[in-house]
Amino acid sequence: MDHGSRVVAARTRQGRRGMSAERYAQVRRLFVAACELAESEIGPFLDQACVGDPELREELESLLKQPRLTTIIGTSSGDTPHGKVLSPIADLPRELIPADIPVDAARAAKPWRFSPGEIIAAQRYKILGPLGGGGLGEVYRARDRIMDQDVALKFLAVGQTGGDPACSRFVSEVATAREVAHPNVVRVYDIGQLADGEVFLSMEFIDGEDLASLLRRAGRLSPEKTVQIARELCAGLGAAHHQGVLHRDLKPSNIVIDADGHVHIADFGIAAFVPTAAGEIPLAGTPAFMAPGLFHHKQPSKQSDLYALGLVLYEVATGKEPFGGVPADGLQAAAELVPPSVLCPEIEPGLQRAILQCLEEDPSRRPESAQAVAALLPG
Amino acid sequence: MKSSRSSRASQLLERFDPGERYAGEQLFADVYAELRALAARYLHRERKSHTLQPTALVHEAYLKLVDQTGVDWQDRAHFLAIAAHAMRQILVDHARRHRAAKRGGNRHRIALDDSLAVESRRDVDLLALEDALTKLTKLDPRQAQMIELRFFGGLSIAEVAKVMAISKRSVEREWTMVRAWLRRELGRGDAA
Repeated sequence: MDHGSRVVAARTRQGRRGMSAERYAQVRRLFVAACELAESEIGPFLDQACVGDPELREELESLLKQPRLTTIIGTSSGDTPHGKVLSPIADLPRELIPADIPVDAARAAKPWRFSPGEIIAAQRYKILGPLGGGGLGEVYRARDRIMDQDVALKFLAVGQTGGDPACSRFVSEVATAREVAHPNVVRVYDIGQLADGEVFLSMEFIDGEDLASLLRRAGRLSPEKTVQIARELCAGLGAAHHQGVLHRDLKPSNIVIDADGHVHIADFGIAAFVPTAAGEIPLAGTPAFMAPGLFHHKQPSKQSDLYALGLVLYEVATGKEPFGGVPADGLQAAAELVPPSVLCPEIEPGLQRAILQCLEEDPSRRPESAQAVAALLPG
Repeated sequence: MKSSRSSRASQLLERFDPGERYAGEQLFADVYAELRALAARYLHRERKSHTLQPTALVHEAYLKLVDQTGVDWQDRAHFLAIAAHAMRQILVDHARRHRAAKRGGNRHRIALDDSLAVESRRDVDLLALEDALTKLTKLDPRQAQMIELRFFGGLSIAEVAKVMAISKRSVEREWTMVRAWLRRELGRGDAA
C-alpha cells in the first residue's frame, strides 16, 4: 500500500513536531510488534494497525525503514551466545501484542521443542531458554541440576549419529574435543541422550554474543579490538591444533564474545554433526568460510582452519566478507581479494599481513600454525 | 598507586544505594572530577579528525577509581550508569563552550560506542545527539536513559537491564526502536 510519498513526507514532518508522549508510546508499541514480523508481514500488519490513521503509518514506516542493525529483534541480543534467537510474537508480553495479531499463528511457527522451565534428560537439566538457531542447530541454555551450573545444550542431527551416541566416529570426535581446555575455546562437557534417543552435547555456557551478530550490529570493529580478537582466536585455535583437534567450520557465528570482550571458539571438530537451521547437515563446514581445497574433498588441515581464520579476521577488520562472500568452490570466477586496508585504512599492517597470508590459495603458502599467525600481529 | 579519590569511590560504591543521597552525590562528584580530568587530557590532544570515545574514558575512570576486588557486577553497572551521566554532561558542556568560541564551526564528533564495537563510521554530532536526547526524554524518559547508558557509559544490554531493573529482552526491543528513532532524528539534523 503506497500512498503518494511526497504528501506523506510533508504530513509526517508535521505529525512529528506535535508528537506527544502518548502518541510516542503508541508508535513504540506498534514498532516493537512490527519488528517481530517477517518483512512480508509488515505491510499487512501496518494496514490493519493504522486503519484511518495515515500519520501513524508514516511515522512507523519512517522508523522501520531505518537500517536496523538488529534486523529482527532478537538477532542482536548482546546476550545470546550462539546468535539468532527466534522470537515469535507469542513471546512478547501481552500488552505489547496488538489485539489484532493472530497470536496462535505466530506460536505455531515456533520451532523450539522445549520451553523454559522444562526439565529434561532424567531430571538433569532445566531448560532456561533457547540460545541459537542459525547454522548451529537447536541450542538451549539450561541449568545442570547436578553440577549446579549453567550449560549450553546442543541438539544434533539425529540422522548423523544414527540416534546412537555410541556412533564411534561421533564419540571419538567429542572425546578429542573434550580434551581441549583453553580459555578461548568453549569447553565440551559430555554427550547426553533423551528418552526418545535424541542425542545432545552439553557444553560450557558463555554469557556473550556471537561474532556474527556483533558484526551485524556494529559493522566492523576497531583496529585495536580486531587485533585483540585475532590474538585470542590464534591462541584458542593453536591450543586445539596442538591437541590434534581441527575446527573444520570456523566462522563468526560459532565464535562467542563474552561480556568482557574475550573470545570463545565453539564447536571444535563437531561441525559435521550439527544441522543447519534448514535441517540440512553440512558436508563439513560452511561454504563461504571454507578453504578452496576443501571443496575438492581434500583433507581438512590446520591450514584450512587458518584460511577460515583469515576470512573471519577480514570480516572483523573491514565489516565485509572477502571475495564478496562468494564461496571459493571454483564454481564461480574467484573475485579479486580486496586488501583489507582499502576498506579500512587504519588497519594494523601486521594484521593485514596475517590476514593475507592466511588467505593464500595454496595451503603450503599459508602460515605454519596459529602461533605463526599470532607472531605476525602487532604489539 | 591509588589516589584518595580512588579509595573513596570504592567505599562509596560499596555503600551505594540509589536511595542514599549522600553517597550518590559524592560518588557522582568524584566520578565527574576524574572523568573531567581524563577528558581534558584527551580533548587537549584532539585534532579535527580525531574522534573521542566516551566509553573508553568511562572505563578508564572506572579502573582508576574503583578497587576492582571488592566490587560486584551490580556495583559496576551502577558505577557506569553514574559515570555515563557525568560523561554526557562533560562532553556537552565542552562542545557548547567550543561552539561558542568557534561560532558554529568545527562541531565535536564523538564515536558512538555500541558496547564493544567502536567504528568511526558512526560518528555523530554531539550537540545534535544532545538535542535528540532532550527531545526523547520528554517522549520516553526510559529510552533516553538507555541511550545515555549505552552510548556514554558503554553498558552492555545485560548491564542496562540490571540498572533499569527490566529484562534483557525488553532492553533489546526498546533498543531497536531507540536506534531507529535516533538514526532518523540525527539524519534529519544533518540534512537540514
